[in-house]
Amino acid sequence: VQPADIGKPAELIRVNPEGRRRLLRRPSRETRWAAAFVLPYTLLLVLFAIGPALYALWLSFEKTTIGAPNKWGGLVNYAHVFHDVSFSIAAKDVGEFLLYWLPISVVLTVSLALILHARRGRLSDALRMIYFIPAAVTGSAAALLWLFMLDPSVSPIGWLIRAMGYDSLAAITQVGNLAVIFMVMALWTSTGFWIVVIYGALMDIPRHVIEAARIDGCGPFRLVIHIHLPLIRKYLLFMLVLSFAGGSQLFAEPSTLAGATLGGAANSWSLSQLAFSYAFQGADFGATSALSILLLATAMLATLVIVARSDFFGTVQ
Amino acid sequence: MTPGQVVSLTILLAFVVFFGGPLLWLVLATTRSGDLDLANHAFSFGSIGNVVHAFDHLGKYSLDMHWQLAYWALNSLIYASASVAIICATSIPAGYALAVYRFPGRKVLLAMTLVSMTMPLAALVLPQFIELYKLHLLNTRLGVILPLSFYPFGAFLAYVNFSSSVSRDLLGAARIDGCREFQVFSKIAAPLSKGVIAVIAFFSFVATWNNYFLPAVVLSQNSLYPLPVGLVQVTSTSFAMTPLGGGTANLYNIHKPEIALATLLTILPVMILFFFSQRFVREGMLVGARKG
Repeated sequence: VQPADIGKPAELIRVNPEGRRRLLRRPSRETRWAAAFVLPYTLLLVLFAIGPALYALWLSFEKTTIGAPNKWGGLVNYAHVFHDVSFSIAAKDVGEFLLYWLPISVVLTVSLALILHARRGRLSDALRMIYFIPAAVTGSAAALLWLFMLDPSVSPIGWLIRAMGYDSLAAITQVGNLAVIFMVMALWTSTGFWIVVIYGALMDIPRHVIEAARIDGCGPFRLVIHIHLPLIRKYLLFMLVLSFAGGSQLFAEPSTLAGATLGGAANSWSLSQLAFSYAFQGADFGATSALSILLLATAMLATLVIVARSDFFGTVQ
Repeated sequence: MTPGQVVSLTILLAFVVFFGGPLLWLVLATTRSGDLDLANHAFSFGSIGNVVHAFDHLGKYSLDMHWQLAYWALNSLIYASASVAIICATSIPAGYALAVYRFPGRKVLLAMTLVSMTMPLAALVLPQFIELYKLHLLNTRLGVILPLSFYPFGAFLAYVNFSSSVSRDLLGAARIDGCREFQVFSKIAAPLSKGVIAVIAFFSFVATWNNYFLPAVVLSQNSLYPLPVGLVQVTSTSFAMTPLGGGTANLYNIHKPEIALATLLTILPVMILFFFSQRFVREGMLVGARKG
């Protein structure tokens, strides 16, 4: 029944007989089995991904007042977030971090993967594994390890840090340096993983394509620009988008730094930390939700880019 | 060697130092004493006695219970192993059904899986917090385990594996031989996919063991912390990384070598697992990357 049919006499409503039969038919055996297999997973998907996202969307339009029931607030929470000075500071911090990290990470990953690919063999295999090890050490342990690396009194590169004019951990972890520091941490933990992925993509380039280009007089440099890079474009896009989405949510690194050095600017450095402090210091679930939705929308936009600019779905189906 | 090869080898080895150096330093740092023996070379070996000493201090560290760190390690193990078990039990059958059956809603489920793979779950932690608050699951083990148990990458890997490397004819033959649907999965398809199951278990273990944001948000009780959150707690309560750390302000006898040891203990289980499953991981990542 179409919405336009409401109120019409029953005999005038056109009913699609096939549609009705399809609805009434018992689900097939295959469907019932499939439902049993996917049900637990779907439950988790709804409870801990789709559900919270929709819930946050709803809460972000609610006006919360302590001691009173929630009311529809329209964009009031978003206005609150956008007018908050801490939001623009945190957005600038994260933006600065992404601006350094994304290009450097892509250039470093591709260069190392190309060099490793050019000299395939045992050494290359072993090196790839060594580069990958830090990927197993993410989060607070990695951040803490890098605080040791930055502390001139214990760091193996203490001489370099002193030469740059910092004589303590507190001195080098000042606000202006944080974006670069988090970039180094992120490069250390994530580059190895992406090298393995990009290396795999390079291995997928058919040998005859490379041979043909060589015969046509392509030197190593032109080979990279005209053959390798265009053929691994899809993977680079995948890497860029996932890195962007992950990087905009930075949380463990700044809060580990804040915990270790007892606060300072690192306490409310990133957007995730800001959402955290809305929820816990301000008990402002509306603003927390609005900020979460902004972060999610950024990530969804990144997803759309993958889907639109590559055959992401195509490969899968 | 040509000059080009020398340059490329130099670059590669320089990055061995960048990626491996900090870890080597960490292992050696636990063998040194005091403020990591300032006078000594950064990469020198101290003594095993110092490790024992540091371990003893960590054992005595307590906020609200004895052997606080051991409890945190136990919590980590509980959270990670329970989540990995749930992840394997839910995402592998789901990936199988997505690959083998045609049913209404299949495409939606597949699309949702891809969307939640690219949307970092970190952005969902705060809405999850509100949800767990309403469900009275804050400050409970279940409140950590359940959200960690949703791992779309696992379902995706299983889906890719079952749709590309398990033959449909074989499954058909098993049905003709009288296998019920569940037996086709449990007796034929799953045993043929041990490799990818190992990869899913490995990746989800790494992800759940290292997760920091979720437990940091959901738990406020020291005794329930997992190691990564506990690690930040030891560091901040001991002042070890601040100028106060060397002095008498340190209530718990926790200094830099103890923090280094705690960091090493936090990452050790993943490292060990990593060395035992290198081959699986490399292959599994290539499967994921090629199809992704």
